[in-house]
Amino acid sequence: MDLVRLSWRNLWRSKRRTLITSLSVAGAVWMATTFLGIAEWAYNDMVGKSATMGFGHVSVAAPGYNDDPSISKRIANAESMAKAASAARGVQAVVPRVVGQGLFATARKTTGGLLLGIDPKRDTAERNLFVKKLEQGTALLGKDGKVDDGGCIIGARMAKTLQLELGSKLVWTATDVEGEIVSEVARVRGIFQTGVAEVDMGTVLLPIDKARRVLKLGPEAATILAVFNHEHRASAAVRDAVSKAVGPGVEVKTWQQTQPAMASYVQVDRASNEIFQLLIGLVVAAGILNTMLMGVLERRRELGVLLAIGMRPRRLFALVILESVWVGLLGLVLGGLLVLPWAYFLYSTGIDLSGMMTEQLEVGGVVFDMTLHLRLADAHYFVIPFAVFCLTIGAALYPALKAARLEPIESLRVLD
Amino acid sequence: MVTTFRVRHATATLTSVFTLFTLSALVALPAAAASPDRASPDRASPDRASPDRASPDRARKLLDRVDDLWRGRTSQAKLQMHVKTKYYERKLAMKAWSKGKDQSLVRILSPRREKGMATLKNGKQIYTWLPRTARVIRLSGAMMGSAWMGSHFSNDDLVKESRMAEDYTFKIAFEGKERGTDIIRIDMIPKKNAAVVWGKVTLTVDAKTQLPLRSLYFDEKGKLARTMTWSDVKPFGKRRLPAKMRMTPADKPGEFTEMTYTELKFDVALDNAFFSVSRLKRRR
Amino acid sequence: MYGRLLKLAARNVSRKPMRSLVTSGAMALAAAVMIFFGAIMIGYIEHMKTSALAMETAHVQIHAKGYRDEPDLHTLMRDSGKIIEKLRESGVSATERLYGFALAAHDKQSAGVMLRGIDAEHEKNVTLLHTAVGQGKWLDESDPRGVVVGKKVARRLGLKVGDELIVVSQAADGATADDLLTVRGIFRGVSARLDAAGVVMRQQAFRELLAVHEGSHEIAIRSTAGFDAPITNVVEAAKAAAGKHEVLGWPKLQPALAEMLRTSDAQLGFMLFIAYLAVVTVVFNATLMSVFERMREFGVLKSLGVTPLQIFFVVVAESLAMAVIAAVLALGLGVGLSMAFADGIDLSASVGDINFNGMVIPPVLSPKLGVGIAVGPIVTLVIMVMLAAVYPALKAALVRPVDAVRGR
Repeated sequence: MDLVRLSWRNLWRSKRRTLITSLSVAGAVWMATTFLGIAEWAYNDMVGKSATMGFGHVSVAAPGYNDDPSISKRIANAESMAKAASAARGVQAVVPRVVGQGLFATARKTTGGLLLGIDPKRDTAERNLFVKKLEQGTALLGKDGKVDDGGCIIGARMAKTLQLELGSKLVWTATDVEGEIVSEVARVRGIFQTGVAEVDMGTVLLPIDKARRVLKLGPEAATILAVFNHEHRASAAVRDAVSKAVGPGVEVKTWQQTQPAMASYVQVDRASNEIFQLLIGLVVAAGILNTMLMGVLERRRELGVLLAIGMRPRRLFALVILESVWVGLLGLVLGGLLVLPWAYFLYSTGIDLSGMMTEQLEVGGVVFDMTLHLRLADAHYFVIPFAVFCLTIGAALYPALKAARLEPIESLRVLD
Repeated sequence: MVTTFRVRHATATLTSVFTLFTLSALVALPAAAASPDRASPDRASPDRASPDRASPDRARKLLDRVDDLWRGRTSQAKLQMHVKTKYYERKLAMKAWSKGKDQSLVRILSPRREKGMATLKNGKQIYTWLPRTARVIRLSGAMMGSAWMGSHFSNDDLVKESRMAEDYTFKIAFEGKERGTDIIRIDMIPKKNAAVVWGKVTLTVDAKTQLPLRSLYFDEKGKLARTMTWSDVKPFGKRRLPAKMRMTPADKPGEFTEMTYTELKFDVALDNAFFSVSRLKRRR
Repeated sequence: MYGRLLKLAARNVSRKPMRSLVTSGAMALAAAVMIFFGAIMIGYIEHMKTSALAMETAHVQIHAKGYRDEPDLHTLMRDSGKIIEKLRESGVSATERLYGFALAAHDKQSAGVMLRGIDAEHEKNVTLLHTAVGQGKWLDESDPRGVVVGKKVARRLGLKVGDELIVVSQAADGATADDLLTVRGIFRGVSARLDAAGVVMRQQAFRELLAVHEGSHEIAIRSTAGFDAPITNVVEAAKAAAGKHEVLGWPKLQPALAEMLRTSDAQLGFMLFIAYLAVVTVVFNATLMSVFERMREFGVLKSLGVTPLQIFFVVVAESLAMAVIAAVLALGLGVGLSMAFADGIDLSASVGDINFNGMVIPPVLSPKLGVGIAVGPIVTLVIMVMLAAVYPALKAALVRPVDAVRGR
């Protein structure tokens, strides 16, 4: 007898049971997708924000820069290195940046902070959180598309403290590579607000060429190369690829290495999430097992007949397993259909929790986005169905075993 | 993670960037006055009264004189610094030496707590000698914004060099009498690329003596930020110079920093080795 | 009558032991998961709370007005001594702190730091800062110039225990103050601020260096209750003692932590909901199956005169019975797991310190044990199970005897 066809037919003999079981499977798909998707989105968002704020997903810097930052630790031929790195696998963009400490003064007050030299043409809103969070003004690009050499972008808090507006002038002072103290004037062209008080108070962005000139770094130099990948999970692989592309003499690190606080948060959260999913998975499996078991027991009589007429127990086992395969596939399809509109909704609109929260939550200097969105990594599209499918088959093992072990005579008893 | 760097100001003193007159210029200003160029009879000429002389050329000459004349000159001085802020009032006595506009050494004589402290400026480097801990500290970015010896001048002011004529466009804005004295007021607007925080600076000089009387610093919106006044003209060697210089922040009434020269000598023999870190450590 | 029905329910349950056990097992697992997970989550939050508050913040702080917006050496509470006396009389622990910015230098490196002068004797009654020394030793009165520095400060300046540190600053009287300090210890991760710029020194040394002879910038108060307790009475006592100074409870000092605690309940609730959704489907599923299997039986019962209500009751009672079994199992399992991991799951081998809103938390997940933790999940379980049984019970109760006996 063709087991495959039989198992398929058996399914439809009790539509109700099949439906209920496949709904359980679908439910598992829904849960997995929702949890993993929301968490994935949150991590990607945070890591992305962190990357755009400073070091990218992968960063290239002079040796020792990470442990002890200083302006003299720079990459002299950053531009050519950037070109080489962009060709590496998985790299979406490479952006050179100059980073240093500076003093910022107006006629009223002086304050200290971080100087960030960026190339406005490459450091767009997508790559650069400060540009993205511009509330007023523009990002150092004039109307003709040319870089505004004498401009700067500052944080909202600094603007308030130093009483600066768009167009005001700011004098910045820093130490150049030769140890000399240098000053320059810059006009405020844009004001950003990230929500992190310290960042909004102490960060000033300048055109990278200006920074290179004034700090005597060299026309092609940069403090770091921020490398962006498509997928934050791929960072380790991208690091290896970039390392090969740029050669020795520099340190290439992933965001986990440069932002350990963020990395640990993601790890802990992910770990607890996974434990939770596992446990829920077990519960769902128990449910599936239950229904399948009942299905077997319900059909005790006919299964007993099959055994009595000579079907090998092994085949009966296979039959039940095959039934579960069908149910699994059905459940996956059902689950996929059910989850699609929900996932799309979460992906595009999301659930806005900001009403519930009055304070900004911050991890490692990056503010949480209060809207829940969903995002699935490429891996998830395979992992979720696979895991749920395995769960289903696993749950079917016991009932299948039970079926195979039936005693034909006992099963044939009319009265239950 | 973007590491932020915070400079906190230890006291309530003003920390604006002071660009027109650096400390070395303060010390060197008298030296400027002693230059042979000064011996011209310009100041006695009737130039000041004629309207067609109110040209940039003349203004430039005036400014250059103030700015320029310490080239190659050395000086040695004894000063008193009187600082009054909301929280304290102090008087320091110090000795200062300078050579050109790039090199200067200031040593504190009193009060006892700071006696022996010295600040050396050599080009763009500033070093401080701390006798109590017997250490030399090189001033880095972190301390630039903070006040020098508790005054209204910041460490940054000491380092800044600005040539008035180069960083500003200027014109003679007013000539006439002010309380019985003939004065000339020069208005200076910073050039577009000058690394200067002010929106406008005015310098008022005595038309007769061509010595500075007063300087006003405005922000870009035209609001007064601080005032420098010179007074108490006295003879120092062959010249007469203002012995007192007072800096008053506009938004802190009652506060000021006043420097008074008690001694001033010029063309003292000072070699470059005098302005070195090793020299800094020695007692004298 | 209902006694008989209960017996019937019990027997029905025991008739299919495997099935009943599996269903009960699923329920128990879900409830146990929630108990254990709840314990871990709550434990983690508590841990965060304690780490964040116990190290520096304490319960309540007092500052001079305007100090928090613009910290300045001169913005002092001159009567801090008196305030502290009053506070101690009212039964709380209090200590005062002084803060001042300075330049610290070692070898060729220099960096801006925030000096913190503490009253070592009383600080240990208010915070656990003295336990946070990672390398070296804590402050000691025999070593007045010994300091403990933040770990990033040590890194930036290349400091090791025993090294000398020069500090230069402007004292309150305007004089330039400098001194040579010795690094007695280096903190482990405490908070973003302390790590990056903190230099903790003895109050006497601070006062001498920066010429602040009376008063202080901050008074920190801890009540004898733990950090879970509400702080209204502490705030009251502080306000009474503080006069015109600003009094703030820890939720205002660490608003993000407060917010997180508020929402963690919601988060736990959400997870509970999901978990129980799973359980409900299982129970619904199982009960429905068992009902349909026994339709004939119910039909017979009805035709014998058993009322629909009684049948409804029986079905629900069956589920309830399984729920009770599950509850017992869950309690055992959940509490067992929590006790097994009572020391916490230490993730520090693979995960570094977590930086959350400026607080540094060591990554140890420990479950918090307590009756309260178990009550919620179990009660919810029972309610959910009963709800899940309603539809199948109705189906059974409303069966038409004739149809049922005929076999549908």
